[in-house]
Amino acid sequence: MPYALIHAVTDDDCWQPIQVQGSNAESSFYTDGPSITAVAGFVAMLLDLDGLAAARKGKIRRGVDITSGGFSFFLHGYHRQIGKMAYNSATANYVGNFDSLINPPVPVETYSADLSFCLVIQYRGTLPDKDEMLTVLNARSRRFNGGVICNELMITDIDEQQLKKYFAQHNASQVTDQRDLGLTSWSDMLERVSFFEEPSSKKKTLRLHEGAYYIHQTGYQLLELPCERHGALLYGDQPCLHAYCEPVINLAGLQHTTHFQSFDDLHLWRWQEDLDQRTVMLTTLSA
Amino acid sequence: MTYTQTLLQCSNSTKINTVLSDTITTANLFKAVARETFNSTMPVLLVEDSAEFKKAIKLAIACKYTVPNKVDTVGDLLDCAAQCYKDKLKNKLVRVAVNIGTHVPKATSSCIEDGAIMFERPPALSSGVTSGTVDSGRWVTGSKDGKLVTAFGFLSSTYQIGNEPAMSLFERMAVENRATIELLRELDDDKAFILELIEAAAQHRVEQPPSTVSQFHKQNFVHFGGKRIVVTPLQSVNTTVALSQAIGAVFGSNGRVAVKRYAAGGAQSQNVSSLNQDLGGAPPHIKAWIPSHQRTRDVFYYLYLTKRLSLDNEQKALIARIAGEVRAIEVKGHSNASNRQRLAELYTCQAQLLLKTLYAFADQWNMLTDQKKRQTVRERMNPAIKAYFQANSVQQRNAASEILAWELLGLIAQEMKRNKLHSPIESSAFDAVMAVLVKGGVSCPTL
Repeated sequence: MPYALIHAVTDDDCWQPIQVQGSNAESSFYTDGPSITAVAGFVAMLLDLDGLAAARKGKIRRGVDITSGGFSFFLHGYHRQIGKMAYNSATANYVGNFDSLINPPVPVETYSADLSFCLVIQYRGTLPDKDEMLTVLNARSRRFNGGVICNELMITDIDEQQLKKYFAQHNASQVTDQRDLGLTSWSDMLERVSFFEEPSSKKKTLRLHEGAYYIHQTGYQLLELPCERHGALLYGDQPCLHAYCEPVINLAGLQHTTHFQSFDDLHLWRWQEDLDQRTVMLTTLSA
Repeated sequence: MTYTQTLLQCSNSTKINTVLSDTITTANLFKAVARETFNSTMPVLLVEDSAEFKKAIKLAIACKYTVPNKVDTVGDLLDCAAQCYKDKLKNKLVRVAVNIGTHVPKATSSCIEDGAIMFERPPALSSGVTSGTVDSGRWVTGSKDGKLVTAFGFLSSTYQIGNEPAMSLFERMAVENRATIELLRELDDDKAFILELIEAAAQHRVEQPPSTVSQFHKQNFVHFGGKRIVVTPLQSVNTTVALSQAIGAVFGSNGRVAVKRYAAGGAQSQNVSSLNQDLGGAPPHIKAWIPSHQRTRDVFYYLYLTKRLSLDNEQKALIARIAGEVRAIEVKGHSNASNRQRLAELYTCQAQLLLKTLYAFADQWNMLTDQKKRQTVRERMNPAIKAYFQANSVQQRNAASEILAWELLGLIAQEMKRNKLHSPIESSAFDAVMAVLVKGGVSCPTL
C-alpha cells in the first residue's frame, strides 16, 4: 500500500510541519498532552474526501481508506501556552510556611497548547492530484483539536528517500504505542514519567528506563452496550446508538527521527475494537 | 494510625485533649475526623468489628456538626451524634441516595445539574488504566446539588470491617447490611424512614442508565461492532481517586511528577460533583513532559535522559580525580606547561574511557544494533568523537582523544566555575562530559 505525508506547504511549495495554535491541552480527564485520539479524528476528517460537505457542494472527490493501514504521528514541537496571571494556591501547591502564603502572582498555564506536527498515512485508493487536493482541503475545517491550523495543508505521496530528506530538515519525535508493556496501574505509569532524587548527586532525574514517555488516552472502554438514547448525535441523517464510556489511559513513547531509515520504522496507529472487553482503542500493535 | 482509630482506642472517659499531641488542636482533630468520613477521596477506613464501625461513624457525624468547645470527652461526642444526625443529615439522605453514582459527567459550569451515573465495574484490561484495572477502594460519589455535597461524602465513605470486603455506606444500605441498619436505628429509630432509605438505595443501585444524554456532554463517533456509534466519556471515581493516591505516593517518596489541576465549576465547584469538591475543585491531570525540539536533536540527549550511558564507579572516580586536579590547576593558574601536559594526559585517558563505554553501550542498545543506525549516530557526533571513531592508527586515535579531552576540560572547568566548587565535583564533571556529547557538533570553549 502506498504512503502519503500530510504536511503543510509554503507559497514556494516547500514542505513544512503543520502549525497549530490554541489546541486543547487536556486530552482526557486524567491527562494533559498531545492527544492521539484527536489526531485520529483529524485524519478521518481530512481523508473523508467524499464527505458530506463536499457532496453537498457537488464536489465529489476520490477518497482514501486507511483502515487497513494507519497513520503515524510525528511531533515536531509542543508548547503549552502560558497565559493568565494568577496567585499560587495554598492548597494546590506546596507552601513551606504560613509567611509564604502571600505569593507573588505567577503566569499559569492555560488549557491550550501550540504544536507542530506531520502525519504519515498508509492508505488504499488514489489521492486526487495537487490542484484537486487544494480545492478539497480548502473546503475542510482548518481546525485541529480545538486549535487553528496556521498554514496550508497538503497530502503528498511519498517514498522513503523523500521522507528521510524531510526528517533531515525537520526533526521530529514519533509517538509510539507502549501498550505491550502491559501497565495496568497508575503507579507503574507514573514511575516512568516522574523525577526521583538520585542518592549520589541529589538531583531529581528520570529513573532508568528505555525511552521518553508520556501518559495519554488511547481510546474508550464502553460501560454498557450501545443503545438508543435521546439526545445522541446524528451522523448525517442517520441516528447513532449511544454508549457511556471511560477513557483508556496508557503510555506513549517518543522516538526521535534520527533513527528513521525506512517505512518499517513507522508506527502505524489504527483503531482496534474488542467486543469482549468492550474497548475501542488506538494501537500500533496487531490484534 | 488515623485520628479516628486513635480516638476509638480511648475509653469514653478520656478527654480528647489528653490523646492529642501538642501540635494538633482540638479543632484540627475535629476537622480531620470529619474529613476522613465526609470525603470520597480518602483511603478506606479499617475497623475491627461492627461495634467499632458504628462508633466511628457516630464520631464522624459528631465531629462534622458539633462545636469543639462544647464537648469534653469522646463519650459526649458519641452521645450528641444522634441529635446531629436528626438535625443535619437525616432529611437529605433519601435525595442523596438516589443521586449516588460510580461515574460523573464532566461539566465545567456549575449551572449544569446532572447526577452521577451508576455502572458495574468494567472488565479488566491487559494493558491500560480504567476503573476495571485499578482499585482505590473508593467507588461512589454524588452529583446533583451543592447543598447535598456533605451528605454525598457521607454516603460514599467506605469502611472495611475486619476481613470483609470494603463497602461504602451507600452499598451497605442497598444490601441491607446488618451493622448499618443497627446504626441507623441507634441514631434515629424511625423504621419507616429506614425502610424508605434502604429501598431507595437498593433500587438506585440496579437502576438502568438514563435514557437521555445531555447536550452539554461530549460525544465522539467511533466504530464498534461494525456500526458507527457515539460515546460519551465519563469520569470514574475509582480511577480519579487512584490517580490522586498515586501522585501522593510519588511526592511522598520525595519524587516529582508534572501535575496540572483543572478547576471545574468556578466559585461553585461543589455543584459539579462531590468528587470535584473533595479534590479541592480541581482534579489533577498528569502533564506530558515533551522534550523541546532543540534538545531532542541529538541522539545523545536521549542517552542522557534515559541514563543508558552510565559510567561505572571506577570511571566516575577517575573523572572525579581529574576534576580535582583541574581545580588545583585552576587555583595555581594554568600557564605552567607541565600542568597543561599533565591535563592533556589525564583527559586523553578519560576520553578513551568514555569512548570505550560508548562502544559497549552501542552494542547493547537495541536501536544501534543495525550497522546503518550506528553509522547515523556516528555522523551526528561531535567531530572529535567522529575523528576518534574514524582513526586508522594509534597515533590518529591519540590525537583525536587529545582534542576531545581539551574540549572536555574546557567544559568541566566552566562547570566548576559556575558551581563555585560547592557542588560535588564528580557530579559536575559528569554533567560536563555529558554536555559535550549532548551538544553534538558545537565546539566548546577551551581554557
